[in-house]
Amino acid sequence: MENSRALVLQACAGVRPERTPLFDSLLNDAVIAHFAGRPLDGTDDAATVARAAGKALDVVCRMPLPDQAGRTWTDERGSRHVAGRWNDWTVAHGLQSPAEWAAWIARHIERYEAGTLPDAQSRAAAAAQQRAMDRRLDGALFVHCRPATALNAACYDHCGFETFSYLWMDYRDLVEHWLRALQSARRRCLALSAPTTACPLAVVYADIAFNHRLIFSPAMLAEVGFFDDLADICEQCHRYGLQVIFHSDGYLMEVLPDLVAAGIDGLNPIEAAAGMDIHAIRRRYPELILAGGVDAARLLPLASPGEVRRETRRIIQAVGSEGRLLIGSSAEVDDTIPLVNYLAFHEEAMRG
Amino acid sequence: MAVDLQALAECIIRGNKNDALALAQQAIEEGMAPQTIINDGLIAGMAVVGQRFKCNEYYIPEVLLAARAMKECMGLLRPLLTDADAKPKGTVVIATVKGDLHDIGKNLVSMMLQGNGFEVVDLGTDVDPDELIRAAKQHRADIIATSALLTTTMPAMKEVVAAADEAGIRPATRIIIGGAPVTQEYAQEIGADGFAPDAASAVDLAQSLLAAAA
Repeated sequence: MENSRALVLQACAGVRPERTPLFDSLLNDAVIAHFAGRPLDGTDDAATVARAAGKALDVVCRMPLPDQAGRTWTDERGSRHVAGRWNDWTVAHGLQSPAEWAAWIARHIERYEAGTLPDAQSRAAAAAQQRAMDRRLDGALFVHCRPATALNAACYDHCGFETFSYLWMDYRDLVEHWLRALQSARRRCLALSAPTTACPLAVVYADIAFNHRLIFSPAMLAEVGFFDDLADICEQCHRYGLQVIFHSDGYLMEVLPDLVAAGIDGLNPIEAAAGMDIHAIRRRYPELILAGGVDAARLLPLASPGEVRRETRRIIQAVGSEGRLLIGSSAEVDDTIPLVNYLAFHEEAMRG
Repeated sequence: MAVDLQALAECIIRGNKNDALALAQQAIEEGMAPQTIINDGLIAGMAVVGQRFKCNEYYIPEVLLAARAMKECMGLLRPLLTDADAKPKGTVVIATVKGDLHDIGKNLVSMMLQGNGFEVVDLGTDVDPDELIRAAKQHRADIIATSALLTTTMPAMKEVVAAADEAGIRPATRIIIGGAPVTQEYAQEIGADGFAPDAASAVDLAQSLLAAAA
């Protein structure tokens, strides 16, 4: 959208912008077809998705492409995955026992630790790739910088948190070594993507909670070095002039002071259905950038357009009166949300 | 010296499978009745885990580790049970409903039920109502437990209730539901027999439903 960068910079600086910027990911066929002016039909879907995201949003968090639902594949570890239209799932891990995982981790630590900081050539290539993506979005900002904490990389990119829990109990030294290796790989990736991004935000995807509670205890999060690792990400991002939005589904209030102490600048997606109260968070943390907030579990899929408009207005007025609000769904705009409700939300947000 | 089953329970509570296995083995060698070891050691430990989970003293990893320790011990004890001993508290067929691939909540409920002496037939995720009913009939289930994480897959729970009614397996088989968007009101609305907000509460609910049916 026009003027997205200026709006986002104002909002993040605590100045109430002309209108509250829109922050989301579009994974909804009807919404994409509406904003792109053409349906997703398998012919250049990437351009269709980018056109829709560029017209609908100021900040585009992720831009996945639709897949052939039901497609399955097996990865190099023997894990089986199945594609949904917008998400894919691991349906069976190839490595079963903690001992098999430990052997795999021991073999791969070196791979994560290897390498040096990105050279000028690879940074230039990354920058060119970013510019190409940004051009397609017609002024909207794409979050190129999405660093993961080592814990989340271990759990979500590799073994899952069930196996991680067993490994943490059975192979503590190895796992600590693995987390340090993942951290070092993440630092290199961040050094590649952060310096040249046009978007002034980094989003740390770190699901550590679910409905009304944390997945891991605060003590375990501290023990695995999660908060120190997050502080490391924040420090590196701040050095590149990026503000850090921390993303986790679920109920985070128990550790929100620790997250703030680690240096995060904002929070996303603020799931009302999981017990997060955006108004209470604003009162307690007036400096925090709040991104998301509009309930995607019940309100956006099930309420009337009038109710969606009223709630959107209420959040903008109560939470964004002094900026620091990037409004969006409390998850992502997926196919559960009827077009008429998304348009009600969007029109209300665009009113300023 | 006779094995202290409270020590075994403590090993389960701490998720220490190696010590739990050693104590269970020692108790077997000392001639203790397998059912006593299970009830006073393993299930007693899991009951504490459930309570701690319910009041936010325990989180998912602690439950997983406790359930793993219990499962390993059961591997030693199960072959020693007589037919009479082996009778579970009840049989639960569990699944995430059609169209929904989320399994964390369902797996936790499954583990907690097993840890509390139920036999659990876990059908996995994205399960059709007819498959649930078939399994419930085949295993003479006391309870069908379904989970949904998505607002849009919740209506599949209503289909399960309708399919169970149509198959004539109620009220002998009770239906309980759970999942992030699910509420007590929704359970009443669709005619389910109960709703549990978390895994430990699901065990309490299953136990109370069976007690009421007895």
